[in-house]
Amino acid sequence: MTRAWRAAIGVAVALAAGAPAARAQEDGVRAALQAHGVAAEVVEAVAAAADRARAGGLPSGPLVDKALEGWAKGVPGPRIVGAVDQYVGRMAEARALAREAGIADPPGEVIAAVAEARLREMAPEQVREVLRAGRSGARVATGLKVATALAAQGLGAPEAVRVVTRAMRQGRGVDQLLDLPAQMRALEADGLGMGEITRRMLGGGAGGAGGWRGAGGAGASPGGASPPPPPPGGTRSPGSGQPGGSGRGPG
Amino acid sequence: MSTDPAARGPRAEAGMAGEPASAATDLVARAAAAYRDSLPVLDASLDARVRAAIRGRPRRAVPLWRWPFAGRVRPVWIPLAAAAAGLVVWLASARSPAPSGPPVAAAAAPVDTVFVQFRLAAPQARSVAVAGSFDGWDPRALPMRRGPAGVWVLVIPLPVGEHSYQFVVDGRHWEPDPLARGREADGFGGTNSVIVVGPKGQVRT
Repeated sequence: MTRAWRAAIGVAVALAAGAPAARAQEDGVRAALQAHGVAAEVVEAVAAAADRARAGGLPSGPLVDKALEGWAKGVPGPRIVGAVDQYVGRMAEARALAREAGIADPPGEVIAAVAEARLREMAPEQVREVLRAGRSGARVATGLKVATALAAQGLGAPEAVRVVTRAMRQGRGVDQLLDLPAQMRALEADGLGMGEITRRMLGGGAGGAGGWRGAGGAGASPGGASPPPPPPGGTRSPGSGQPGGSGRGPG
Repeated sequence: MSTDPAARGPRAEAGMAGEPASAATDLVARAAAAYRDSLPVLDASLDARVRAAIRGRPRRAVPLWRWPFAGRVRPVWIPLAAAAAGLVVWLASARSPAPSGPPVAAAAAPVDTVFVQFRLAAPQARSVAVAGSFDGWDPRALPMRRGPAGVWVLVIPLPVGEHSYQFVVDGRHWEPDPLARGREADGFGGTNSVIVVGPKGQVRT
């Protein structure tokens, strides 16, 4: 075998190893959009935006989700592309915020979580506080989501951030963080006021001594308020629960 | 061709018989010996010199575009080339994304799931479905079932974590959950409801 052959095989192997790596995510974006019947021009525009995002170290998954959401809702293509471009800018701001908080190379899930938290009007300083309290990307991202959820439930953004950062510094895991909103609802269901709920959540921590009653195990329905009567002609949600309890299984 | 008379003996014995055959054999043997003696004696190093001359000849690269080509490949390169080809196929298949499936479902690792009940009172609706980040926002994937008093219900397993969703009424009206406390602008002029599913239970945010 000549050197030419050896070089040819080497080039082929290098191309096979490198080219799919460079194209896989791009093809993944296109494939995901095409699988849902998204128009070709929208696919190309979103793929281009995803390319720019990846080149800047930003995740492309949220962009695909946003495009699919717009397409499913019947939004015209140019508006979908505009929303995707806007999301790219939001993630760039989120990455800058994460870097300010000391995360030099924030993973994609953290960038997306920061972007969502800012979208839900969590203040930059509160975001930085949660970012500084976390030790892993998964916990930071979950902490941000839970903090915004607790704030939406009425805890107040500063208090929600304090509850979450305290739990994170106590070493609570992702599952325990995700359980905080249900525990708050349980306290609400007990008829406690927001002040008392805040005091208990800050005082006890998840499952800690002096804490609150948990949301219960399997079969609990933390949101189990009895449904109000439906308005005539309108729509309402009587609330949701957990009828079958929790389980572990393939996602 | 062998010139050893012994090797030819059986054939001669089968084809001839008696003294005349033996005389003919001797004649042939003597002629062969005389011919051998007339040949020049070859140098014992000739074979080595020929091999060295062949090795020293410059090699020509085989043009890749010439097909079919005739080339000589040392046996050691065959398994190496096969391994390289296998590596190419493996890398191509391992790195290529699945051609379909919602992005959210692409996280194939087993995760905790919790059964979540969605409910919407819509007495006048002909159909209600729930669509969200958990199903690629497909308005047909998760239809709800109409219950008493026009309350539409659906129970589905969701991975623990945060999910955005809306109800789809009559296949075209996208509506946020009226009682959900977690909400966010969807970027298209609408509002998504947000749910955080914990491992011990679900809560509407």
